[in-house]
Amino acid sequence: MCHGSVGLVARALEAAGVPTVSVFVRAFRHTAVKLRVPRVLVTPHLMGRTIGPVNDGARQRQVVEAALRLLEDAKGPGTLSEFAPPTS
Amino acid sequence: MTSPESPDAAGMTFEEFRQSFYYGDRADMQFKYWARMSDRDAADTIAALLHKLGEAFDTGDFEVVRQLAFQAQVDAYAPAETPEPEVDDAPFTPLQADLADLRLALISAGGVFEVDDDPMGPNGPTQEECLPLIKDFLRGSPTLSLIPVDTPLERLTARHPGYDATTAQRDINTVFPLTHLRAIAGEGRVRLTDEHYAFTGATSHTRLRKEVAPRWAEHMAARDVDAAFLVAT
Repeated sequence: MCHGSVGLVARALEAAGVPTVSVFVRAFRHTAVKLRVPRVLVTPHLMGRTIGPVNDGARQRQVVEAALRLLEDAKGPGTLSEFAPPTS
Repeated sequence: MTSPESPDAAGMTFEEFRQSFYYGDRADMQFKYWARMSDRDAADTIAALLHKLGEAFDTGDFEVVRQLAFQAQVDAYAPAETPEPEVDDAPFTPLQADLADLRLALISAGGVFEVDDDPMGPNGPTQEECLPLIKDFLRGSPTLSLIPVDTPLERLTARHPGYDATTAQRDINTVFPLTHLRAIAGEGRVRLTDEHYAFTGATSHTRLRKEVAPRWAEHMAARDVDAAFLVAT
């Protein structure tokens, strides 16, 4: 339900002229596809830890950076990107 | 132990056991997905989790347990049918400027709010107490919590009947990454709006789509939100 709610809010914002990026967990990737959510970053995380595990600031920061890159780079609707941790 | 003569002697079926994690007497948002699985798949998943947990006692590597739980969750929620309506359009607004020149707002569906601004009132339910209210949440309209950008993180908490918000209570950045957005803004790579937002994503999709989300979008556009960073939970 929750991921669908974000999709609906993102769609309303885009329709009002506000560009969005949304972060989903992979378990609900299908919801992003079905709702044609404008820009979605899908993370390989458990439900309730969408941005990253508790106290894992490095992973959380990587996810936020990746979402902002997607916000900048997406060229059209329905752009969905799978988060991949940077390799060191 | 239950005596053979007691009313509970028949015990419970495995189906009843796994269903009890879905808002039953073992309600646990971490594992409610067991209710969606077949008996066989749930039994195999639980056995595998216990096996990996046993190994982790020796190795200290709990990441394998997490990965197993993650994959089970992904498999369980990959449904043939989803409640979301079919849509025939795909709204998309291009960025109007470089990110560094845009005012960005954070919007989380994780039920985040300031401790003295509970959207359910000063005596709002705890995380545990809100679980039996799930049907009320799903019938109702969500409340938008306004969170000033300079709010100390220790003043933020979360409650949500659809996921285990005790995770967010331990670290709000798991669903409301304001710490990281502030840091990036501090580097001059984006601007943040004065006001950020959260709501409880377990809500009526009909109300959200027809009334609430368009109203919120209008509010945010009027508050000079140039772009939005949304987090689902």
